[in-house]
Order: sequence, then C-alpha cells, then structure tokens
Amino acid sequence: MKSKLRMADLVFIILISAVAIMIVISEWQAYHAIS
Amino acid sequence: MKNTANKMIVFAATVVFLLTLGFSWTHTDRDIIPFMNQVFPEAQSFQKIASSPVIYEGKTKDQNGREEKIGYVVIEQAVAYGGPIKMVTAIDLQGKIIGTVIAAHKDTPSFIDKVIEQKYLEKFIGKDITDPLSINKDIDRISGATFSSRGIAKAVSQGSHAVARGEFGLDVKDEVQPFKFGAKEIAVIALIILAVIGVAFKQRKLRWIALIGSLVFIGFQYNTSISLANIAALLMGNFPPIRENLVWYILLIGIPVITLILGKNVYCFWLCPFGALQEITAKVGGGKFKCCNKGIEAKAAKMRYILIYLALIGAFLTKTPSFAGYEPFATLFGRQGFGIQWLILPVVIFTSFFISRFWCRFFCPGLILNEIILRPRRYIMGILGKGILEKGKLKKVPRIKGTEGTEQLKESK
Repeated sequence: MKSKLRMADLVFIILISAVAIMIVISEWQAYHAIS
Repeated sequence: MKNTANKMIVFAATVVFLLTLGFSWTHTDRDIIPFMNQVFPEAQSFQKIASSPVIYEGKTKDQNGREEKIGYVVIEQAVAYGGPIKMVTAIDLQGKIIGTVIAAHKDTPSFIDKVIEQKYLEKFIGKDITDPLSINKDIDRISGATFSSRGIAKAVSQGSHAVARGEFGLDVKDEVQPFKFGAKEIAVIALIILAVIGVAFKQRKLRWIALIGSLVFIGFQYNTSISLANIAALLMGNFPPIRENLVWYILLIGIPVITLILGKNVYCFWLCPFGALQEITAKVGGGKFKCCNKGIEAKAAKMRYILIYLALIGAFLTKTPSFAGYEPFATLFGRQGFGIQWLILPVVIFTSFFISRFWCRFFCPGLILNEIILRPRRYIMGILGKGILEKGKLKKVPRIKGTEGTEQLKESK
C-alpha cells in the first residue's frame, strides 16, 4: 500500500513538473517570437 | 526569522512588479528610419513636418542637386487584439498609398504571422488617402486574425487621413466605428445573466447549462475566454476600442464587479469554457486520481504564483500583454498556439480525465485573480460584520480558508 502511494506521488510530481517546464519553454518561445 | 525572510521576498517581488509595470507604461520608439526606407525606397532623405501623428516628407535630389519632395511617410498606431500596432505608411504626391509596413507591435505573434503570410499589407497599395479603408468593404479582413487586420487598417486609415487633411488640405473624417452589438455580445451577456441567477439564487442546475453554453460560445464559437494576457493588457493600459470590443469590457470589468458584489466566483465554475471542458473530461475519466500527499499538492498549487508572476513581469518588460497568455485557451479554441503550446494542450486535457480540473487547480491564474478580488471584500465585510456583531445582529462572517483555490473548488461543488 505504502509503495503505491509513493508511486502516485511520483507520477503527480513528474506530471506537474513537466507541464510547468513546458509553460516556461512556451514563454521562452513567445519571447523569441516577439523580439 | 523565516517570517521576516518571507516578508522581504514578498516586498522585493512587489517592488520588481511595480517597477516593471511602470516600465511597461513608458514610451519608447524603435528606430523608425529603416522602416521608412523600406516603405519609401525612392526617398533619399526624410524631413519631419508634423508630430501628431508623426509625418515626414520624403525627398530626393534632382539633377541640379536640389531637394525635391516626392511624397510623405506617416507613422500611426491603433490597438489590435493583444496591444497596439504601429504602422509606417508611404503616400505619393497623388495621394495614393504606395506602401505600408508594421514598425512595431504588441499583438499576439501568431496573428501577425498570419497577416504577413497572407500578404495583407499589399492590399493597401494603390488605395486613395481619402478611402475609409473599412474592413470587409474596402479591405478584406484576415480570417483568424480579425482584430489584427482591423487594427492595421485603422492605423493606416488614420495616418493617411491625417496626411490628407494636413498636407493635401482635404476634408476627410476618420470613420467612426458603429457600436458592435451582435450575436457574440448577446450570447456572452445571456450566459453571464444565467450564471448570476444561478449563483445568487443557488440554482445549481443552471451551472451545467452555463458551462456547456460557455464551452460552445465563449470557447469554440468566439474564442473570448479571459486570459492572463487580458489582465496584463488591463494593467498596462492597453484598452481596445469599446465600440468594437464590448465583450472584452464585459468580461474584464463586468465579471470582477459581479464577483465583488456577489462575493462568489462567477467565472471559473460557471463561465470558463476551459473549466467546462475539464469538468466534462473528469466526468468521462472519473477524475478520481488523488495525490495522497496533501503537502505536495498544496506546494504544487502554489507554483501558479511563480508562473503568473514571471508571465506578468515578462509581459511588462517586453511591453507585450500577449506574452503573459501562457494558458492553452487560444490553442484549443482558436487553433492559435505555437511551438510547445501544442504539446501542453493534449497533456493537460489527457490529465484532466484523471485529475479533476487539473489546469484550474495547479496552473490557471483564474482562482488567484478571483481571490485578489474577494480578499478585500472579505476584509471590508469582516469590519462591517464586526460592527453589526457588536450590536448583536449578525453572526461573524466566516473567512474562506486558503488562497490556492482547491477549497473554493470544493465549495463551488
């Protein structure tokens, strides 16, 4: 049970981080498109 | 100690925010000469003859070396979708437009790309300076970049009319746009009324009607959902003309006012088309995935503050409101995303099948903006409530816990 919970945590953290990184990259791309 | 450090970080962040916001209000011109040369290559020199709008005389030298006037260049700007567009327009001595170019813009880059790809600027060549240059009459609009094409036409038209009046002595008036009130405005107002009735009279059944309606109209049909880019535009003072953009004002000013009066989040849970889509996906997929560690979930929700902060600072520094619009709304509803935004959208939609309102809870600025509106209201109500409490008339006004939005999300359901 405990290991299942840890896996859920990990999946969640990876997912959230991936989207956040993608948003930062999209901002970077927007900056280059503007300048 | 930790508390003091936190306060100092917040103070420093606020100072940086205000400084960059102030910077966004300052006016700087990019060097305009290269654009004048591009649009009027025959001219060997330019002499400024007016400043509102800025008009130059284009000159060349004759065989005897004397300077000879061959036309005019006018620089004028108008507001497009994401911000102003500055146009440099060349006019010959017969009063015909011989070229126009975008010198600077703060609009959404994908819209401007579309305008350039479709050679929109070439449509102005040969037009008379007295032409009104009305969209869909004198000049066709660019589908998918209506506001940008309208902004460009307006800037060119206003500039060439100023030359007509000032240099040709003609009596030309700028076209006054009629107040635009059509299906779009009616649909948005009807949905807002529905949401207000639902929230004020606690008619929960109306919520799904409003949500589906917003998904269809505010989302797919008109692609006019509130974005952080709109908030940035508001803070930077980039107000589009109200006659053509009534919905912009209804959503950006009307919704906060309604939220303030009702004390409830009217937009996120009733009118946000992307929220509606996520609720539908969560219904289909179950939306039951829960991160077991609440601490991680709470920390993840706080990440939004950093994203919003960075996006706004970026918008202020680049003086481009559309820079702040990191949400996937336009990618989905307007097919106007670029680059990695096309990857963010499917990841977010896929995840929202399993995590209820995934975007809203961890990335969307909506709930935070709502909290910014409601917090002073609660403070005032708290003071008023205290006064009434002392007279023994009312129970204490409960404070809604948390600012991350998860609590509000539960509350709304």
